[in-house]
Amino acid sequence: MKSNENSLHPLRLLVAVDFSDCCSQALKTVVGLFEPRQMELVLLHVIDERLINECIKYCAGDEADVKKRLFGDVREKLDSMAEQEQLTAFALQKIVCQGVPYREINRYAEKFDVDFVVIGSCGMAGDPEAIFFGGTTERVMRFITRPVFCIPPNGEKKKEKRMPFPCNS
Amino acid sequence: MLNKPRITEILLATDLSENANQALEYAASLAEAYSARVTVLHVVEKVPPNAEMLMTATLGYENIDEYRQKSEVELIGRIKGHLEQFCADITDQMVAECRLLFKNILVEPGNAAERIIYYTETGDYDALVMGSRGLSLLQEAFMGGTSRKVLKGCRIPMFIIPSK
Repeated sequence: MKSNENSLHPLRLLVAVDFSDCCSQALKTVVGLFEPRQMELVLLHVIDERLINECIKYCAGDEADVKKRLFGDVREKLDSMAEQEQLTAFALQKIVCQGVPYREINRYAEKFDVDFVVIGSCGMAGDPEAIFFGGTTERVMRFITRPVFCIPPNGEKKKEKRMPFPCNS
Repeated sequence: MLNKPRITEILLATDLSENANQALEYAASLAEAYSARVTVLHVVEKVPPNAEMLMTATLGYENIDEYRQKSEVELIGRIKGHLEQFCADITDQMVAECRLLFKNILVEPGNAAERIIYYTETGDYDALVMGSRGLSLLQEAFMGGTSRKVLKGCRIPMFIIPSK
C-alpha cells in the first residue's frame, strides 16, 4: 500500500461492480475503511460479451441498438449507485465497457495503475462455466498483477455447524 | 445503522516464500495505517508417515514428536528472523516501532487452506492477507492453489497479493 492516513497520495482503488448485493457490501466496506481524501475510486462495470450476443440472438434489436440501451442502463445504474452509497465525496470515475469481465478488470487495473482491486466474492452463482474455470474473482486472481481485496457477503463468519450424533445411551 | 468497518486484527498467512514477503510488507503497511496488530500464521503441510520416519532417522531424532517439536521451534525462529530482517529493512521508510505491529506467530501442522480458514473463523481477525503464486490453469486444475481454496471458504475480507 502506498498510502496511510497521514499520507498525501490517496489510494486508487478499482471496484468491480456487478450490482449484486455482495458488490454493494464490498463497496460499503471500502468506503467505511477510507476517508474521501484518502481514496480515489474507479467503478468498473463490464458488460459481458455473451449477454450482448444473447440479446441480439433473442431479437432484442440490432447490435448498435442493444449496446446503446445496455450501456445507457448501466450508466444510469452506476450513477444511482454512486448517489445511494454516498460516493460523491470521493474522487470518482465510472467506467462501462464490454468484454470478458476478468480480462477487462485486469486491463483497467493496469491502465489506471490502481493500488488494489476490490471484488465482492459471492461464489459461483448460476454460472456453469465457473464450475470448471472458477468464478470471476478466481479468474481475476489468476492473472492479475495487482493486489486484490476480496470481500465476502456481509463479512460474517460462518456459524458453528451442529450435527446430530447418534448414540445408544 | 451499519457499523463502520474497522481493521484492528490482521491474520497474515505465509509460506515463507519470496512472494510471502510482499504479503508481509502489505500486512505491515495495513497494520500501520489502521494501528492494527498482525498475527503471522505458517502452516506446515503434513508429510506421509513413512517420509516422516525416514526424515526422523536421517536427522537423528529419537522419535517423531521430538522431530515435530524441534521443527516447530526452528520454524518459529525462522519466522522471527524474517520479521526482524523485515523490520530492520523498513525502519527508515516506515515505522520505528515495526516490531510492535506483530502480535503473535503461529506454526501449525495440517492442510494450509483448511488451517487458514479455521483461524479466520475462530479468531477475532478483521482481515486476512496472503500471497498468491499465480499458478497456470493446468497447475490449478490438478493441484489447486491455496489462495483459491481459501477464497472459497473465507468469510472475512481478504487481501491477495500476487507474485511480481
